[in-house]
Amino acid sequence: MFISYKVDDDIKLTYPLELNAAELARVVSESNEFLNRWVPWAKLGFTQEDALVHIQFLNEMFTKNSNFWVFINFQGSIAGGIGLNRFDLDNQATDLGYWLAENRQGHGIVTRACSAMIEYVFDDLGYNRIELRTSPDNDRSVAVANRLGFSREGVLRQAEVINNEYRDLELYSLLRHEWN
Amino acid sequence: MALVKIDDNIELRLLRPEYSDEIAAVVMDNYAELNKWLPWVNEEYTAATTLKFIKLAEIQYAEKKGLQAAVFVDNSIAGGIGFNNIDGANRTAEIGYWLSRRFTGLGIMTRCCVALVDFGLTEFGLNRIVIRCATENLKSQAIPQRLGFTEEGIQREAEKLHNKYVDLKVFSLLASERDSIDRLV
Repeated sequence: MFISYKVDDDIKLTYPLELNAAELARVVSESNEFLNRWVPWAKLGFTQEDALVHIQFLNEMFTKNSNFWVFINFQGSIAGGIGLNRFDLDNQATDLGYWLAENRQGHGIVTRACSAMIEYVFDDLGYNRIELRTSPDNDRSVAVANRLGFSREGVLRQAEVINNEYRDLELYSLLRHEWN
Repeated sequence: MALVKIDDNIELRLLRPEYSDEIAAVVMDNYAELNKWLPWVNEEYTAATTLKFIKLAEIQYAEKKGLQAAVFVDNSIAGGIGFNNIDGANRTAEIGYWLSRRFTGLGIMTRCCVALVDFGLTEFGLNRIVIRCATENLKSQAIPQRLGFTEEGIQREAEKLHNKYVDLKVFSLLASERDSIDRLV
């Protein structure tokens, strides 16, 4: 069974386990207001119980083969998460998503983790298209998409509910033949 | 029983397993036209394909994740229309449709779409309704354009159509824009 995957000397991708709940709760609550702006499940006042529920949800999605999310571990502790949200076998496409703690920003962590995930999607799964949706005002996330060579395809209006408000999402994609 | 009655002759009925043979006959009768744009209309298509789809659609309907209907014109099946992937958390859904060539050019599918959009906004409380069409399928795009949908962008190589990938144009209508269909009801 998959437990962890080494991206480089600093970064590992690790399978979410229930025993990570305390650490996840601490990481999310330290960045709670920051994450709450972009991440639907990072509710304000995030507790260890919420962390456990989230981990159980990820595990359930993993076994159903519908979503595949792992933690981004930076220098030995959880710094964020990265995952694939849809396995569209008919169209050979999937959606890439990620989050990173506020105090871990600026080290290229997400970009490096994404590179590993993109390689997995194109090389191991053999898919053709990776979609990335991000809030237009999430500058850091937009920068990641651009740095990885994704193309901007449009804006999906009011496509996501965050904190009971509809938000637009910018749509980016990367095709297999554009990645090397 | 009609899910939506459009006029004395046209109505939408939820798909039932009993319809699979009639649908298959209509699909085979329109094979060349439908094969051009629908990934599921291929060499392997039979009535069993549709029966399997209908059984899946019934489960999705029960789980409020989808709704698939047949378009009836004078009590015969003329096509199909439905909501794919209803996303309850974000209150969005996508409409897909097809119509027999015997009934195209009469505005039937436009009226069916108006009815389904209205149904989705009213009965399901949707906020965002999406229609995606292959960039080269101009006939299909005419429907969201006529209904006042907004073009949001092009998803590159987003659909595998038989042996090639095609780009999809994304259109959407928001609940706040429903005036644009109300004038067509």
